[in-house]
Amino acid sequence: MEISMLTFMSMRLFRAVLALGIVLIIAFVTVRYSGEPFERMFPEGLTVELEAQLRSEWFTDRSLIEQFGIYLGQIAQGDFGQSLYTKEDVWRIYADRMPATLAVGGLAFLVSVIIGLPLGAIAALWRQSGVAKTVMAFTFLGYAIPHYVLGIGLVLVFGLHLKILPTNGLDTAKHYVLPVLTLSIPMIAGLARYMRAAMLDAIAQPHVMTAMSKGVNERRLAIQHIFRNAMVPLLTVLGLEIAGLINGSIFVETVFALPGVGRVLVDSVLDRNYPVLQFGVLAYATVIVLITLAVDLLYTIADPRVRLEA
Amino acid sequence: MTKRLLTAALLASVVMTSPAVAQDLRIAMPTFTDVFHPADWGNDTAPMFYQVFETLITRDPFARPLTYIPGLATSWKQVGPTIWELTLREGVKMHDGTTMDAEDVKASLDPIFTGTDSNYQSAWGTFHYNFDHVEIVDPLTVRIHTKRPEPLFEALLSLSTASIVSKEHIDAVGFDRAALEPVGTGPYRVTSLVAAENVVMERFDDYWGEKAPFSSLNFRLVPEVASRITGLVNNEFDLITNIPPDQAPVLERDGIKQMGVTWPMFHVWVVNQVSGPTKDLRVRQAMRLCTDNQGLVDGLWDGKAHLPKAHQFEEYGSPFYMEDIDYSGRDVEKAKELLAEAGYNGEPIEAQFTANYYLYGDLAAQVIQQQWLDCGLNLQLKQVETIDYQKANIVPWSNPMYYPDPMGAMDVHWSENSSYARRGTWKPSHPEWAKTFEAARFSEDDETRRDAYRKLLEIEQDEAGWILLYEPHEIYAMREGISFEIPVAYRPYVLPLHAGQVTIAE
Repeated sequence: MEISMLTFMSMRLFRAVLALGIVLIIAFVTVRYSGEPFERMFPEGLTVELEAQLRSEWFTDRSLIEQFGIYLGQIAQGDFGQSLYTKEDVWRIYADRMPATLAVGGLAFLVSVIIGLPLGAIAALWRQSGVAKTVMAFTFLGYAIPHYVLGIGLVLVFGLHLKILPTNGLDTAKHYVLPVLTLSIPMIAGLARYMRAAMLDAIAQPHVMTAMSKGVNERRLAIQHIFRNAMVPLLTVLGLEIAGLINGSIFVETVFALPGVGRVLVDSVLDRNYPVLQFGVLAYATVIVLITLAVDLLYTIADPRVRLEA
Repeated sequence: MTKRLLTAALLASVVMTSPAVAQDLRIAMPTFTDVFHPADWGNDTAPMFYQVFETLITRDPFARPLTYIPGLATSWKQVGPTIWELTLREGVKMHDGTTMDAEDVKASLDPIFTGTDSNYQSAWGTFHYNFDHVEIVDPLTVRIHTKRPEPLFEALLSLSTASIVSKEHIDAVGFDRAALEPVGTGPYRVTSLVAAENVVMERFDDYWGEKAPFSSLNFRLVPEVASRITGLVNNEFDLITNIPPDQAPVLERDGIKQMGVTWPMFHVWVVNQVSGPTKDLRVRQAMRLCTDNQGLVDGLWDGKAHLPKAHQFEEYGSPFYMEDIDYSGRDVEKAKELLAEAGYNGEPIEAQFTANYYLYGDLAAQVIQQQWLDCGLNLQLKQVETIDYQKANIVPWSNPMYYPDPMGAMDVHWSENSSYARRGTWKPSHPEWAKTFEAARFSEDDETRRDAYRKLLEIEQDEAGWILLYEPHEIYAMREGISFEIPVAYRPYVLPLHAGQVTIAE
């Protein structure tokens, strides 16, 4: 049944809010079940009275439902809480560190798309050639190496031995090279592989075969018939890759000592810094939901056959 | 053109590295503080706090035996059994432009002496529990009252937790913000602080003493050891800390200098005295006897760590360090006898660890697990998110020396106020323990305290409430031209970057 764009969007929005709510509840509950932050805050131990005081200050002496109610009440007033450790507003902690993560992640995404998609296309269109085989060998390797290993490897080669690139922080343009490479090499490999597979699928479609046998101009064939059809499944993959970037940024920020949000998120888990973790998970989930929404919309543009369906 | 620029840059760098002209120092560290307030104290804050905060009484950093020197107080004397009078230094400017006076001293120390505010409670319970309050006599004179006579008055008042901060600043912005915008009196002032990331300090031009040798200090968190080393080699940092000894060969390069340091600090296994097989005194004694410390020192640390002979450090100096005490040595047969007596029959002894907290801690545990098999001890290693202190039979810990006195490690870690005593798993049963501890802590003359300490160590041999593993060894690595000595009078990790403490040559 076809429905209007407005209904489609509002249903999607409802589902998105529902998803965010569920994610928030899971984060809220699991972090509390994993323990309290006090031991971590006072590694030398703390008195019973202090513990009781801290519990009541942060409501951890109440039931989970009460705590969640209090938290929702605060959110409703636009207050996402403060870090238990530094007492900074959590939104501020993320806002301060967002530019570094966005810059490195954004660049890595751009580089990956610019290099990965053409590589995949080449590997599909000239699949028997030596170039295609080399590309596939590279993508296999790039896909198999974890960010962490790749990052340290790049640091050792370009920093320690060749001494041609800086390896810590983001002070100059040169500082971006290694972190961006670390994030983009696996992504280039992933995109190239998906692109190749998608193009090969498209090539096997009957209408492309027909066009080929009719002797349609090769360039036109590649762009109009193959590439366009291959884009549909690729959109999903691109969406997933952006989510993957956030995961990768956690490692990259540690290896290259970058002031980004990935590390804040991981530290908040280790420190059981509830407010920081909750906001981080919520923000992360919001980004993922928005990307999914955007991908769904782009589908309808990339493939007019995809209709807005309930 | 490029060549000319390069030459100019080269010339500039030569001028910059000459000792007469100040320069910047970039330091990379593996752990970093969230908050910057004297009440917070730990290995990660020690190198930074020393640059920014100062105490009333200070220590000559390099002198042994320990020597106290005037800091923000120019003189002090005991005027009653529990009262000390201190004359404050006149005209000391604080980093917020105000002048230090008795009000600042009271505002800084009273919370740490009472410990009622949760922000200060850890420092209070660990160090300052015997202090009472600050009495203002006049703007430049204070009297500090203790609860009981305090033989460690100077030692405790020269800890970084007793640093003086600006009352005006805290009154204006509150504790939480002041912990992110610190104001002290030291030779460097903090100009930028990103919690758990980066702290930038600049030379404080209004400093009351000799001006700092560096125009700026830039401390940065770099968790990965490979990244710290690369950053130094690559000229992104000038000094890197906490390098494990197995990385030494990587750092053998032109222009880079290494300085190994064995800290006055024990890596320790705390043994649960109240539950499981370790409840039995004989099992605990056997665990200790079966541990081959020399094997750990040689195998893990390449012989560079120190073998502990008892819970004391050479840094105490005379009259406290007792060279003749040696409780080290492995005795498998004796251990087996004790276990047989105790009726121990291979019941699992559980050690709980959080991931990679102490350098080589995981490796040491695996080695000890093998060593203990020789005696029939069944050690189970368990990596956990949060340690269950009641259930774990063994928990790894470290015992740094906070001041060069037997109590500088003992009182902090094993008094009745200490964390394991409060958790109830450290519970010395020997009838003489409490009395002897008391004598070692509060007796008024040094010899009595020392003799009590000797007895305390003897008693502890029976208790076997902990197993000393070793004093760990780490490396500082830096540019060739930088030289400093380890400030033995201070706790581990303090970096001496004041005037006269560090030389910067080409």
